[in-house]
Amino acid sequence: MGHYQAGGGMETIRYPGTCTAVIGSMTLTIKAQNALAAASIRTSVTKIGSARSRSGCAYGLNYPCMQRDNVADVLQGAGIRVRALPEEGS
Amino acid sequence: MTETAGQGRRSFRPPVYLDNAATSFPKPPCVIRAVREAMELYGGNPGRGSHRLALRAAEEVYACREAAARFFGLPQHPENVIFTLNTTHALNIAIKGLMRPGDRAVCSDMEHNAVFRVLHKGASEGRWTYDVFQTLTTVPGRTDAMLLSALEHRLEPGTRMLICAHASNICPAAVPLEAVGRLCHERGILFVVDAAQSAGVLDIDMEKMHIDALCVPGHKGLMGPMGVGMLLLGPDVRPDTLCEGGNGLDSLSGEMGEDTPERYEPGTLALPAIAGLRAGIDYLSAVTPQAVLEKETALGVRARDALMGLPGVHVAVPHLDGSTVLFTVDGMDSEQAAARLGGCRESICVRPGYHCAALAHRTLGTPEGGAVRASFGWFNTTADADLLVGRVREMLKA
Repeated sequence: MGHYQAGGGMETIRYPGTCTAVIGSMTLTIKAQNALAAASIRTSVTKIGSARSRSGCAYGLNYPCMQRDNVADVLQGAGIRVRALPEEGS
Repeated sequence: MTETAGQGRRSFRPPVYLDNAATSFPKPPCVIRAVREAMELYGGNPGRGSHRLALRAAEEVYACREAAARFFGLPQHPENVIFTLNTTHALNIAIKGLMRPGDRAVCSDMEHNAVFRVLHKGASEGRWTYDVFQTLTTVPGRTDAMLLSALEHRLEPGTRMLICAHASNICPAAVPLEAVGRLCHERGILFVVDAAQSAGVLDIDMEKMHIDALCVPGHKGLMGPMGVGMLLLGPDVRPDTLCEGGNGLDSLSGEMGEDTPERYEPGTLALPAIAGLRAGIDYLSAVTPQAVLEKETALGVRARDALMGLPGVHVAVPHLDGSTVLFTVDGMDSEQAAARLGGCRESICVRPGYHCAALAHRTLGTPEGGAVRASFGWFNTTADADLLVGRVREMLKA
């Protein structure tokens, strides 16, 4: 998934990075994935290792970074608490 | 199918199963297929790891939560569907997890031991007190207003929880959940429902009925396999945990975490049973609980009316219509009667005794020796009902 940018009179495609929303349990992660899918935001479930989650394993969703604000809005609207929604590259 | 007996061969007839209050049988073919597929095709551990089979299993588990949440009027909260071993396990979490030291609970006089023994133990250890309200089940012409009036008298100030069997496991008695739930809601009392006999047959809408905790078996009216039950929690209900352990989340922490349902689900879930349960809910949704209720009730009433016409047979609460018929036969205790029904060529499976329901049998005044329970299910026929009556008639002649 990418988005178009105008540049030098010629359209180029920039493929943004993948961000990860740290949700917590598998159940809430799938609920979040379904809510985002209903908003046409494609995601994939990922396991967050202990290196990124101080208390040990958790689950989260990979999503296109450019959708960060939309992801936050949709999950908030669905009442799903997100542990972390880091910026791209963070 | 044939069986060899003695020196010759005789045709084998499968038993007529009239013990659906214990567990529904047979199961729909789609349930058996779903169990088999879970074991053959995607048997990863749901919520453990993130490989393909674990994720596929987790999706199946989540789909069952969604199906159950929709079915019981909690569509926005599939995460509040907690898988348990069975209804008893769900009731233990709800009661022990929500009652606080010194609290008072009230239950009906038709409870199963899954409620009665939990309350009794807590009370005998001084953790809480409890009282029993009269459902007036044995009173012909009892109205909901009469039941509510009896209940109101027991809901003294300081009552934290009301626990009710929606439908009895020994006779067709049922409690009007919506009216009882409204009463609890108005008084700020937690409403816990034991739906062991009603889930999948009688209408249950947690929101409309103000139910805070709904305890459900997978293997009875929902037609799933044994090994899985459910506790459905209202949006703001947070019992303490009953059992702790690994749940695939925050493994370095000593806490179970706050995320529902994993907070209440330590250890590995029964994936094949859960897959079968989802298939059962789908099947039931297609045939409709209303159709199930009508058919099972018609069979129960047919058997009840015919049994009542037999001299020497006594049917409990004959003024109530439903799928369960409780009766005694003069001259034999319930164990003897059930053994004779089950012991010959056209074997009939019924359950004698007290059915793990001390309070309820006391309420009905069941004589010493217990009673025979015949409980009809979706796959029974009028021929099954007639066979039961015919066999009891033969027993009386013998």
